[in-house]
Amino acid sequence: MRDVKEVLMQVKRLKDKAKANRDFGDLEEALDHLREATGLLEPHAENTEYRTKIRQELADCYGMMGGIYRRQGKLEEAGNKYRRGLHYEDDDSYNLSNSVVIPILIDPLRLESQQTKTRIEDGITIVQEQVRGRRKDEWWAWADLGLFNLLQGNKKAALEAYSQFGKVGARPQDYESTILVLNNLLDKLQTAGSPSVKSVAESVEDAIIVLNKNRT
Amino acid sequence: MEVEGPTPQTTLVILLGASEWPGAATNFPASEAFANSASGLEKYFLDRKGFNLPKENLLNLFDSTSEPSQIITRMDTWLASNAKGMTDLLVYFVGHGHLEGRQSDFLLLIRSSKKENLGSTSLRMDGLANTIKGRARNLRCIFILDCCFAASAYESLQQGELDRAAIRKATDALASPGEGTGTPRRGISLLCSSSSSTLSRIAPDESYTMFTEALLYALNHGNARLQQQYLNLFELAVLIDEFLHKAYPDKAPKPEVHSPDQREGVVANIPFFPNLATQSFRNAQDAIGKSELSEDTILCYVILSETERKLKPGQDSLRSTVEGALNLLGGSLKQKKEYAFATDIVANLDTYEIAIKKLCRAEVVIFDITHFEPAVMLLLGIRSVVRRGVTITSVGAVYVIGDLIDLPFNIKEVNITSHSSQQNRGDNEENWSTYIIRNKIQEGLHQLQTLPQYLDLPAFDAVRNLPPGYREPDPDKVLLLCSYSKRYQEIHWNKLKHRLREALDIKKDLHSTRTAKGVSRSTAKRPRVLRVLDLVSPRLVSPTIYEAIRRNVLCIADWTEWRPNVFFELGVRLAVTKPEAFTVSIIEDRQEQLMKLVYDDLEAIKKDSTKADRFMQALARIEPEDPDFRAIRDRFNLIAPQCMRLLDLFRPLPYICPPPENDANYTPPVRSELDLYQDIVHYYKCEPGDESKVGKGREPITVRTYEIIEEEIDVNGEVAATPVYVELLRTAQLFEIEESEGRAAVLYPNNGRLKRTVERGTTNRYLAAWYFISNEHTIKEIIEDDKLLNIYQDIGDVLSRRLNAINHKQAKPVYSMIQVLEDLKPLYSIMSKHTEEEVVTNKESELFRDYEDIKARLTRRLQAMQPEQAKPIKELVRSLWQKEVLS
Repeated sequence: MRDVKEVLMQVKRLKDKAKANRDFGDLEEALDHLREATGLLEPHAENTEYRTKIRQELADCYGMMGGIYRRQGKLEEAGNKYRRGLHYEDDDSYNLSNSVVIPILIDPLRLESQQTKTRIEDGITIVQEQVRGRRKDEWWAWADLGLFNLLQGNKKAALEAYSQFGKVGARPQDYESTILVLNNLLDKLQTAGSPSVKSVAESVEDAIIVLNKNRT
Repeated sequence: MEVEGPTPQTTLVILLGASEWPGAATNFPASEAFANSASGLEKYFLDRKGFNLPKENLLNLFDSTSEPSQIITRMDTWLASNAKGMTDLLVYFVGHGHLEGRQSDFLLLIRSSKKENLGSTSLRMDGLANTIKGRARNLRCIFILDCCFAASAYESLQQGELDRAAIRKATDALASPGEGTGTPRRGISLLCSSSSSTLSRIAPDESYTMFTEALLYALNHGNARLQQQYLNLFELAVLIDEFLHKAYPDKAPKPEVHSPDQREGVVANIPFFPNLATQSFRNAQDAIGKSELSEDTILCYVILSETERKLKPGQDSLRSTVEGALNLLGGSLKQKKEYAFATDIVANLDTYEIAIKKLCRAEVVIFDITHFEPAVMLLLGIRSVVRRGVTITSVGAVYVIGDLIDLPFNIKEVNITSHSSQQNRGDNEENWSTYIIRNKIQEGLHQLQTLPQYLDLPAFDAVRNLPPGYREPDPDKVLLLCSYSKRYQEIHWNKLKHRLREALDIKKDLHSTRTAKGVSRSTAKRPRVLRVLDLVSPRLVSPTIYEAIRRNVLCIADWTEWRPNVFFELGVRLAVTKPEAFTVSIIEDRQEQLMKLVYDDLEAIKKDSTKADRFMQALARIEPEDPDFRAIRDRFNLIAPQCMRLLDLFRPLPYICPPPENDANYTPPVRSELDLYQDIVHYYKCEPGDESKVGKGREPITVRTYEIIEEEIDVNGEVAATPVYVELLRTAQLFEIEESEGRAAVLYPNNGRLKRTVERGTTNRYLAAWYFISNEHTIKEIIEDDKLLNIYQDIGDVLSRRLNAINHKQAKPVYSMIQVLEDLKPLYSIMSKHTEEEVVTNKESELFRDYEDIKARLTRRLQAMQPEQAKPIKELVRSLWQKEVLS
């Protein structure tokens, strides 16, 4: 078995390559690098000394894979990867929010199901706890909280979270990425006839306007 | 109290005897065997792979033509000045012995012995014993007597009886009453030989005496059966016996060990002689040899204090704490560690020089700064200049982290730890200190790699980063490094400033315009004498001090009060002073004398606290009612042996302060007060070009420190020596954002302008690093250097994404290049290791399939590149098989 520190260094390199591939549209190559990374990490998932770090890295890699499948339009695969990420880190807000959003993207009416509502509520509790503590200055935590609040229909809390997203230092490319996700969601929500879903769509639209305004 | 074991640095050796006796040749025949025996033993002691004794620890009086009284005086004087701080003495005699008169006085013949008057022209065993028992009373002594007795002189005695009588005489002379047990700190043992029949003690080939031949064999070969690093005298005698028995079965003399003084125990039980048969010893010796030669040795060097020597059983030591930490860490540090007491380091110039080399080379150095001993602080000051490595400082005794501690000014910002037993008790975990030191080493080494200007001590950057216009030597100021105690300022400073000014005034006429080795002494006015606190600058105090320490051509370190800050600053000064500048150590003459008295009477002081108090009142001008009195007294008693060595090594110039009244201990100087002060400012007197001459406060150590560092300095540790792309990358990485976290690296992330400026600056650094490597190295160089290739790819990965967020067109060539390199490396590897024939002959082989896959991918990638960018890559591939491979 390879030395864990060496594995973590190798994984960092593979993730950097995957990110570059992803940003330049070489999505299959990015997935190859991420598969290689998870292959290196999984044998160490129960390592006593590095358990937390290894599992965080696994959650991150699966999250990145989910994102790439989502870009490819492979929503089922994306959902599987986000869930796989949650298996390693059950409070990872990125995998958590995306594992809620993916079923809605597949069928917007799922937003009305009790199961989805419970998951959104749980997500808000978890992320709120995080932004009160160790993730107070992480913009992605605030973006995830904003998204959960939008899905719950709490526009005010969502806009407050997005405001905080900017205050802690989100960069133009981070705004762009967040707006892309919301636009994608908005497209799907607008196709549903349900008034409650429509109301959420309106909130999403408002959030996009605010984010676009603040991005510079 | 823990008893110190013998070490080469704390052992003295005296060689006695003769190889010919011109005045008594008829009875005592000459033989080269005696000379060979003495030189063989000298060689063993001085050999680095033998006993490794420092040269100055050996007094060779063999074949001396001096009279016996002169020889005794030489020994007496030498021991008087060298026995301090030592633990062991070995006296070896080879030559003729003689028993004379009714009382059968035991005589050791020397070269000047006269036949007609042997008694008064030879060394008398009892006289020799008295000298040793007097001057080396606090040492463990081993006598080795290899005597031949001329049979013709003893008609009535058999050889065996002669030996018995001689041994009895020797043991009587060396005897002291009493019997102790355990590990002695003093005492005497004797190794000699007796023979029941043999008249001649010379080996048949006359190369050596039989006994010394066996002794040398035992010392140089050791005992492989005993898996221990050192042999005691008994074990050595067994080996000698075995050798003699085999080599001279019928006439072998028999070695005997006696211990005439065993008041504290038997000296012959002390492991003393390196067992050269054991691999571990040879490995240790080899490791020392290698660490002295190898430039890139990673070494953990631990400097121990006197407190460590005085620990009671069960108390936590720095050594055990560091051992534990290194065991947890494992790896090369554990393999290449060394421990040294600061007091041993300053034993002489050789030990000091070796230590300076290690301070330059060691990646990690750990200092025990308990009681801020002068030698420890001196070495810490040097370390702070010579290497941007990891340096850890730890306090023992009863210190617990968080306790109020009066840190010397210079190290107030240093992050000290504790290795005291108290630290590991109470609420803290067991072995807490071990974990802290482990973490400090681990974290330090990591930060050393990632932080461009990692620092754990104050002076490294401060002595280097001098603003332009502030680098040239400054002859206009004389910097005084001194104590800041109220007592010192009131008494010493007030005196010194006036007297030094007077001394400088007298030399004013010599401040004419002249330049020596770049040092301008163009000042027409008298140089000003300044203390550190008199320096005027808008900058922080710390860089201001170190700048002055580097620039001032004359720096005076006043040892009075033995202050830690003075020794730290002196260490910095020695490390940065070029040979043409002067560093002069001074001390109030009375304090020097009193320190010597404290040292000479250390044992008495320990028993009689009133005596200690009297010394202290005189030494430190401090009354017993003073709250600091006890701490200062105990510190002085502890550091006295170390201070004596420092005094011997530096020989500080004495100066006179308010004349002591009614001080019986005080001996006024022979020279006038003005002369003493003029010596201190001698720099301004000497002719240009003469500065390098030793003398007048300029001991070899003040020049050698700089010279050694100049040779040993870690060239990669200098800021400008770091490859420019590594420096750019490190700075950029300080502001890099971990994408999955999304946490800003700037302090005020809500300030958009700041954020954008920093982002742009970070991207530009990556870009500059990328351009630098691209322009400075060919593709072939990058591909062939794995380390460079990794860095280039790391930079490319981040840079391409950063640029892509701003300008895709600018980002594309960077991305294309890193994509190409991904495949170029394996293709290059295949094509440079194999011929075309080897690769393409077997089309079913894995090698061929790999080659084809990579080639196809690389071709695709190159097609996406700009032709100009692709050209050198295609050319590189073409050059390997001299054909076009990539279409």
